[in-house]
Amino acid sequence: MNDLDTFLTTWADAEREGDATTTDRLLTDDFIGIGPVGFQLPKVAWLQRQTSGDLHYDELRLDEISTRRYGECAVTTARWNARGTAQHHPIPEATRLTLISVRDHGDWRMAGIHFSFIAGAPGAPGGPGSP
Amino acid sequence: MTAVRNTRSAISEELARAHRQVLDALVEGDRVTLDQLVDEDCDVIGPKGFILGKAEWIGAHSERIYEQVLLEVEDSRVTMHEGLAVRCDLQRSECLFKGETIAGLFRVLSVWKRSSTGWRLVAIQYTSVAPEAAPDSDR
Repeated sequence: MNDLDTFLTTWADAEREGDATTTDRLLTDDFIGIGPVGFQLPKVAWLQRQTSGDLHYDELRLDEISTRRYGECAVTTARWNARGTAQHHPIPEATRLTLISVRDHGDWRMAGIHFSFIAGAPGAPGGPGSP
Repeated sequence: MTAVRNTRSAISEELARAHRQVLDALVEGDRVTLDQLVDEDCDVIGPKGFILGKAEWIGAHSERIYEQVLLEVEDSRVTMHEGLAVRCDLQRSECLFKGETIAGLFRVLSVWKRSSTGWRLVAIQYTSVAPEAAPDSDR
């Protein structure tokens, strides 16, 4: 998969479908994911979110996508619009994220992802911090 | 092999130095240093999910709208990818914002690119760490 947009779409589809096999192929071995509550998960733990059955999406869509390329790497910011449940609790309907993608032997893979709540969005808590 | 290891070590030290300079500049409201080390296209995503550009972010600190009092790294993980470095830090932060003291633990993702003049920050995102995601010592 050479096209970054296609890669991001494929990854988001795999995330929505809970497809751990595809996600496993798309993440680098040293992948790190930061969730909106602040948990930091390595690849194995990230995949367990999908295989455990605790995470379920009814809808997932990336919006407001902006990508900057740096050679064989890309940094993407986006808004993650979702409806679903995690451990039977509703997940926040909107979060902001940064994605780090790197090319590995011609194919894009995801090396990192970082989520933050969006203040005022349904499901976002009140918390410390500037805008 | 030793030469490669020494080069990698030197690169890591350069990155650590640039990162420390940015943290110090944020605390001191040092516009000049931030301007040098933050890339023109840098996107900053704060813990409330809003996106700031370089000028807005630096201005908030240098004009003391957002007064950073404390910024300490408690844990860090760095990965290198073809001229790009990704840092995942756990930072303890304290600041004054609109008369309110805001203190807490944050997960901070920072992405750095290496240029002929050294490392520059190209993206940074902050996430407030909830009690259930904090290290045991902070619960």
